Amino acid sequence: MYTIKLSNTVGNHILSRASIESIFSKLDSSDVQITLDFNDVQFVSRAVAHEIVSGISTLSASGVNVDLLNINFEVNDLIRKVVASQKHNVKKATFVENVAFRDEKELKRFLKTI
Amino acid sequence: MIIKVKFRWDNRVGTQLIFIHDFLKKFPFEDQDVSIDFAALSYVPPLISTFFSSFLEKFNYVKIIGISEGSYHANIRFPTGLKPENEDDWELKMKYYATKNYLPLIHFNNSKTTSLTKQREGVISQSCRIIRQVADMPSNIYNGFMYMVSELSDNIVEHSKSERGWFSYQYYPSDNFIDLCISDSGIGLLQAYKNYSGTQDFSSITTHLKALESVIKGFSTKSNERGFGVHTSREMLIKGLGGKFVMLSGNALLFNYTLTDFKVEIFGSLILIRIPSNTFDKNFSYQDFVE
Repeated sequence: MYTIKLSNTVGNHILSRASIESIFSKLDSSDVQITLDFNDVQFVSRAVAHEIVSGISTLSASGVNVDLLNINFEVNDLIRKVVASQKHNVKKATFVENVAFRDEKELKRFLKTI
Repeated sequence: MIIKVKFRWDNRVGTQLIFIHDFLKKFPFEDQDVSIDFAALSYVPPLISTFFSSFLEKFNYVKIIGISEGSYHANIRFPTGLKPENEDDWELKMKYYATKNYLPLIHFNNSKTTSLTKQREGVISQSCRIIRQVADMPSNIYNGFMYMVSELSDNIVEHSKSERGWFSYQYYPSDNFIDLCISDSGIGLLQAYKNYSGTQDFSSITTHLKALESVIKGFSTKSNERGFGVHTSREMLIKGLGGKFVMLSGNALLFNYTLTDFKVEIFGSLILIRIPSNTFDKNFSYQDFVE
């Protein structure tokens, strides 16, 4: 059994997928039980939450069990949303209005309003 | 040839974009003997400083003149930026800015090695803490701010194929807003889709406009489980914080929900997030915008 205290290894705010990739890539394949300790981890990005979920899934397929410990409400909620989005991959706030300006003059007229 | 640049301070995003547009329109890309004189550019807001820094990184044959020691440019490390791994004690140097309304231009390393990742996270985190303190951001707003900064900067690490990215910030207490810019001089959104070789079909993404729209729609070149960071950050900023979102790549310009042809091309990508600082909503929760 192997425990990784994320706040010591990475920090209290985990902002980058590479932080988690780095942790998972160093795991020994002989470990069958790993605990990720989130004590003092105050914030993770959604991308980081996805990297954690993906990493756990890959390890699980190799017979490695990963537990999450001391996870705060916000981080837990993020992970829950990532797992839910894997089942129903729907992106909502994606509206874009394509606007074509005839020429630079029209474009600049628009830019002066923003 | 010497190009003298001058910008009369105007806090409107559109005016700053017009400045960038006009600079790119007149820049002699075919001339390898070019200097840019910044002496008359007495003040450089984040959008313009990040634009020039990325531009000069890309076109590194361009000579820079008109920046004197002790000037505002030198103070914010314009245009070369603060590279943490090249500083003796970057954390201590950052503390100098702890009571100022600006930070130095951060030129972060996109390397995914453990040590450089930790350093990149460290400098971005410390920057965010300073911004929080100076702008007196409540913790609910700060979490949203961290979300946007982490998602947008990590996209540069993951997709730009550039060695480094840029991070620039300024707080305007009398105008009541915070400007934060993140940029890179990498391959840009369209080339990222063109470089893709996998099972998803991105063959219809043939223009910068389609590429930027595809990023907003969440079409990721890495996996269809990804692609949530940009549009959720945009929505959080506009609907949650009442802010403004600008994204440029190639000739594609996105302002909030409007996508249009900028009629000149930038290299890599450039994002501005503008957060009003006098209307922090105590009921705002960044989790309302996470999908």
